[in-house]
Amino acid sequence: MRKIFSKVMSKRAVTKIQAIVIILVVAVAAVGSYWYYLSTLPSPVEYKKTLVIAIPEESEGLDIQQVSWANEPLELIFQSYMAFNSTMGIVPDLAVDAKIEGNSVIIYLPGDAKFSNGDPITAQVMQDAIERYRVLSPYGSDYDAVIGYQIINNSTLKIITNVPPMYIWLNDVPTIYGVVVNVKVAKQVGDAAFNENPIGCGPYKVKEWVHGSHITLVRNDLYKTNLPFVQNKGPNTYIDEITIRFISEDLTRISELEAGRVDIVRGVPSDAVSRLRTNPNVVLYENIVPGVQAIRLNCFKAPLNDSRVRQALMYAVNRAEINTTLEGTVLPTYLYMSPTMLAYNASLEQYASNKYAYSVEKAKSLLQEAGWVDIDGDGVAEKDGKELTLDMLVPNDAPKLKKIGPLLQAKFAAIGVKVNIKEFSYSYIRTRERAWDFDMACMFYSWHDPAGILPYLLHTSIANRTYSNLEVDKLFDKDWSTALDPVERTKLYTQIQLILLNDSPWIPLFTDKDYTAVSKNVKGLLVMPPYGTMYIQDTKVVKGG
Amino acid sequence: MNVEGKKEVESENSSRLIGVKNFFLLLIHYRTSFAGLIIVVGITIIAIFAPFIAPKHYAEIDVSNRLQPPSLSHLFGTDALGRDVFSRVVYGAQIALWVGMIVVLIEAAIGIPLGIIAGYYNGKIDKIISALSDLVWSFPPVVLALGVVTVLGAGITQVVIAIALTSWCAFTRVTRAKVQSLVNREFILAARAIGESDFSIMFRYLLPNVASSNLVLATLTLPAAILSTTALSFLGFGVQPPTPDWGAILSEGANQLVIAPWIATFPGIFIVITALSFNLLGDGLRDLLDPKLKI
Amino acid sequence: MPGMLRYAIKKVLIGIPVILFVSLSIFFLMQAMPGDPIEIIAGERATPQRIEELKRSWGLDQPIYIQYFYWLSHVMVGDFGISITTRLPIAPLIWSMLPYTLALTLTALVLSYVLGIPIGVMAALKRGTSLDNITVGIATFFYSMPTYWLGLMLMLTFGLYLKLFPLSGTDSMVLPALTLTLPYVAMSARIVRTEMLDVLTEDYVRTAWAKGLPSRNVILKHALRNALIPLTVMFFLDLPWIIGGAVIVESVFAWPGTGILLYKSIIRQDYPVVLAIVLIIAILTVVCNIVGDIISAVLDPRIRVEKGD
Repeated sequence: MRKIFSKVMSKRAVTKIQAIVIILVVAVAAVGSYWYYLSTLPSPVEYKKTLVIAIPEESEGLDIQQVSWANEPLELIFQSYMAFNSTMGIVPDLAVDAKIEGNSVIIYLPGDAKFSNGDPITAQVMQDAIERYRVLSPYGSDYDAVIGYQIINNSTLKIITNVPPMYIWLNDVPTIYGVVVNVKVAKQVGDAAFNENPIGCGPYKVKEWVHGSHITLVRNDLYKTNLPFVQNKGPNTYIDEITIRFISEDLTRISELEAGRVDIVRGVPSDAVSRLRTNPNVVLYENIVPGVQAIRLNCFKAPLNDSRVRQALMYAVNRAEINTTLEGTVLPTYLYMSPTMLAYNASLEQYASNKYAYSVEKAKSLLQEAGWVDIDGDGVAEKDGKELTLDMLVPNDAPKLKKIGPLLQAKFAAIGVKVNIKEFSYSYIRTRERAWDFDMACMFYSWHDPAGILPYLLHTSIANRTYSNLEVDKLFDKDWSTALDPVERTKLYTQIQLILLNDSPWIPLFTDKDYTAVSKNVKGLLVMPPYGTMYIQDTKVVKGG
Repeated sequence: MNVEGKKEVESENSSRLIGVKNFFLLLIHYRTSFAGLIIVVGITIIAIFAPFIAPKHYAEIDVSNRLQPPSLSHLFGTDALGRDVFSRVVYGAQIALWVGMIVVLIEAAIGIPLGIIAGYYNGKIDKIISALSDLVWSFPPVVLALGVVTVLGAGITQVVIAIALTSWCAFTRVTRAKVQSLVNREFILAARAIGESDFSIMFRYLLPNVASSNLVLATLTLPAAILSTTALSFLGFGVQPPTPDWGAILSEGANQLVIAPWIATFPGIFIVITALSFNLLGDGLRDLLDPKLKI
Repeated sequence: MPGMLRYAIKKVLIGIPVILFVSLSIFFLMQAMPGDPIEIIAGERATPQRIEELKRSWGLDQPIYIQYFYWLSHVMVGDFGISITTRLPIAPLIWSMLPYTLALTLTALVLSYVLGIPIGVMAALKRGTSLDNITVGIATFFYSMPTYWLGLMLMLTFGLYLKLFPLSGTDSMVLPALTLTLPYVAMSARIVRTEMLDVLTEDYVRTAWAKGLPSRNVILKHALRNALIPLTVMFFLDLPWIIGGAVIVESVFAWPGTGILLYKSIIRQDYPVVLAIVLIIAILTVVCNIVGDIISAVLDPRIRVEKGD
């Protein structure tokens, strides 16, 4: 009985299988032909509603008032009162207007200004935010000149200072460091939580932060701006979400763009620039960094305490070679300031490059003047029996400086100076600098206003005790305490740099150029000086292909 | 006693090189471990005669010739600063072997005495040494090395110390196991009986008998040491520029992998070949000298 | 088995002072580290006064032993303190990233045994043939390859040129797991092979083997069981190892695990984070050791006799 049953069963099973197979084949054929039909229809422009940006470093935190450096997520979460346009003029952003009046800054906000969570932005809130910044931020001293506030009306704040407020006007009002934050929420949830999920009034707000991986932002539908150089002054309805991924490996970051998995890459390494320039699917944006990369010298430590030795080092560096090595992605410089900084003097560059043009002979003769000669012919100069050996601290987390380290070493060897490279993290190098414990240290800075950075590196009293020139101090003090017009300011910083060029406390190498690589599917992106800030108000991302 | 007895028998078996089974072993591994031996010798020669083999000094910069693909004048091409990659790789062999040897020597110098003491004395000392050895053995070496290097700073010496500290335990374990199997043999008991000092016993009898196992282990540890050094250099904690450690060259070349793949490929190949040859040689040695050896 | 329980408890009790010792050494080593994380928080333009302020607010001006006890008391209740660079609490940070590392490393480890065991068995059975040689050769080849090189090669080949898998990020674990797995397949295959050969070359086994089919299966099972004992133990001992190896892989593939957090924190001299992660790894190592010991004692009575009280 069982045998017959199983035989019958198996026959039915066979037919069943055959039937299933036929049905499947027909289904696949039907679906396939329908799909083919669809693909032949012309497709309307489809927009991808999410934008993916890849950046090299994860943010320390998301509360601008607690961090020491800002990057893309913060630029999207917060909105500054004013902003820089392409000619470094100051134009309105959140504020309707702002101006300097004697010893005060007045900021006028629109009456309906709101945070992303709906809380109103009032003059009181603006004042509270500044006070919070003074306490929490590493740069709180920005507002040291503030002696009081006056709330003119609900949306207008007057900040009163004891000196003309040029510093605040140039370093805080138009930058991300001077933004207003929702202090009420910060008090409620605590600073630590606010650092994970802050409330600002920028075009996007925080959805989630997956540490080590990415930050997802969603559109702030209450966003409004007064920027003259964007067309859409409200929320960007074409982009619902922005994902910012942290990919520190250069190769990985670029490969993700080439594989089509990210739309924008920031911090394009010098090796990839030429390749991406010829890639038809990629648009490359170049931004000249408002800053200089240089070797800092310890002017109080022998043998560098002799200015002739320092000047010799200036002559020994072949900056053109540096530019070649870095694939043309930098601007060689002899100055202490960059072209995109305020008060920059272009003709000074000409003067300095003439004065310190690459010359091994001049370098050697200066060393000789200072008593350093290579007597025993081993390639290293000596004086009183001691060899001219120096340690150079090179940051292993600053790719361009790290790359040219051996090149600099070779150039110094050519004039008889033996340089040992010691690679460390940049923060450690800064520690050694502060402790006087270095000979040569590679450094860089990035800030648009010289008053906001140079005194911290060169003024005797404040920053470090590795260089001191009272004349320079006086000039810095003058800039801080008086209201100079741009022409006078440029003259002042020219004066300062002439002294510095003589003293040579640094060996300026180059001004960096920052590159952003954008997929051709991204339309309407604005990349603005001085920091290459991205403005996405008019951006749309086209789908596919 | 039963356990010891069984182990004794096993070791007797392994140390007899005569016999059909072992002959076949020799024959089969002859090919691969012999190849390993040849390559090891080759790399050693390259390392010793590096200044004569390398056409240029490893730090010689020539920016106008940068990123050249391999050619007759530059066998492995040039890197981003115009340095000859072939010369750098050849000098890199010096560093790799030198560092590898020193690391192994330090590890052996720490591990073997500890192993002998642990195996000989048993009891509490054995427990402490074994526990320490087990703990360090299972702790991730990368993390430990990173920690040591961060405290001591970067540089070849520090890297050597860091790596040596992470794998000395292999020598301890192997030595201890071997000593435990020898400790109750007649010649040891006899030496004890006539009042020979512990130290003398350990030095004159135990040490030579653990030599063969440790030789195998040394051959197998060297490639691991080289891989670890290059890993640390890759992460940026190793040698200082312009020293041409293979890992450092690889790290520099990684970013140019698409436009100048030769910079990263050749040191990579050399690392693999060197490590592979030592591993093959070590495998052969193990089958020859002590097949029961567990790394 | 009360003897087993006593053995286990003894092991755990020994583990605790070990962990304390490790935490102490790490803590003091950290103090000796070059660099100052306060410098980073303080930023470019900070004045010396500002730096002193920050130091005070972090309690970094207290004597070291006070800092240690402070830290230890918090750790015992699961509070690892706050990261110096981000000021975010460390414990939630690590717990959110640890699953990624564990997922990656466990997958790699399991996969490497799943692939390694059959390969090792096959190599052992066909010992002496070219198949054995080739398999061992390929295994050794992957074992001799630096992790980062393998990772880069895989990423370029499968991620960029062939576009088969996502290059990086959390979308796909395939490439990073593969990078970790391949070298370990080699190791486990070799061990299985060695262990199986141990048994298969015994005289009584060889005679039985030569005799015929039914007893062959028995022998195979016996050999396999013998091989699996050290393998199981190794699984637990390899776990902390592979977590360490993940540091490089996570960096290359932008996989957001604790490996990359550790590396970045070391560079930034973010002491509390480094301490926390190393401590967790140390605890994990000790736990794995204990588990490994217990398992080996359970499975292999010989070891129990050896290590018995």
